[in-house]
Amino acid sequence: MSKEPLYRFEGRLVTLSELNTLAHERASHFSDPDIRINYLKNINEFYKIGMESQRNLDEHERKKDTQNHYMQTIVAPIIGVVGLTAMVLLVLLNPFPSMFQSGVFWIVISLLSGAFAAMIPGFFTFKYQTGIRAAGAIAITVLIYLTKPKVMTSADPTQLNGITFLVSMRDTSHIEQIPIKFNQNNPQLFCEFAKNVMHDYYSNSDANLDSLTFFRKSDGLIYKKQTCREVEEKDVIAVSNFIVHLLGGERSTYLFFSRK
Amino acid sequence: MKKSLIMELQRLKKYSKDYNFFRKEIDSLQQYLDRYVDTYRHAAISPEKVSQALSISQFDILYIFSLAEQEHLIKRKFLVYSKNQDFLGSFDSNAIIPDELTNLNTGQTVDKDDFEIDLVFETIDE
Repeated sequence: MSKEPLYRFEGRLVTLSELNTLAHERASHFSDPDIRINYLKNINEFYKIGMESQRNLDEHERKKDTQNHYMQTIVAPIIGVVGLTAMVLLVLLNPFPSMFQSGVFWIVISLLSGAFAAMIPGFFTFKYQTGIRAAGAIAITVLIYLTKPKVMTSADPTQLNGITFLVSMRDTSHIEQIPIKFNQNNPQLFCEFAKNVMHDYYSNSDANLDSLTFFRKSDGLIYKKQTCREVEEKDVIAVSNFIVHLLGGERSTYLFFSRK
Repeated sequence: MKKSLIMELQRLKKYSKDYNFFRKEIDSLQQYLDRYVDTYRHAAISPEKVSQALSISQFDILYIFSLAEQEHLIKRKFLVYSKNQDFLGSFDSNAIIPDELTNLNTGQTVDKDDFEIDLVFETIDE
């Protein structure tokens, strides 16, 4: 076993290997890798910590580089691809997000794009107005964040927040207007949704609410298999099947009410 | 009276990256050295004591001194003491410290296991 003297360091006595550990601890606070490596090399050179320690140091730095390389070339892109795929699915499930949701989506997409961009070779720098500069993957994040498309910053003109039912239950002379709030992200069949609304609205009446036909006001399309997401028009004509029968069919019923 | 070169830490500006990174420490160190080096002329500068006086990591002081040494502003010395603080010798490198040294005060041989080593720096005059 080799003999080991002690060195005075910050008010105590330590061995060379302890000095080496302390130096690494101190150097780990430096974000700049050049300074960190130079710092450790110079301190090792002072104390001649020896080939073993130098080898350990090189191994330590090499391991760190390998970890960084692994993170940049494998983990970050996987996170990016998986995350972006998840975002696409999320958007498909929620095609009419609120403004707040759009903002959150965009921030997440920017971050994931940066992760995805980590696997693209080359060095990208980005400068925006005064003061904003970025490089590498973070530059992609900043670039994408700042180039938010207009479609995300303005209200979707096709999105319906409310619809109006024009309802005729018992006789053709009386049409009632029922405006309701509408969530276009609802995946439910529109006719089911509309029946539920009618049930809520006419809960105290004896009307036959199960027997209703719903027409699109502009062209008379009858809502059967369409989901709420596919509803593009604000006005819906709701007529009881009794009246449809009375007026001689769906087409003539629609023509009758569309003229009113 | 010759001026000590350690008073010219601004020469380290050539190591711009390191200089800027340790700018605050270098400035404090320069003030400390300006105050004490000429007062205690030819006394060795102990990074441990400077570190305690300035509340800067001893490693940071050593690193700055390593740059100063590259500029031939100072020179390192390893002072070897026994456990009861008897001075045993001074060496330019710890690699050349022998396994045993004689304590001239007691006449006894001191083993390397019982060495206490202080890394200090000597000033170099212009």
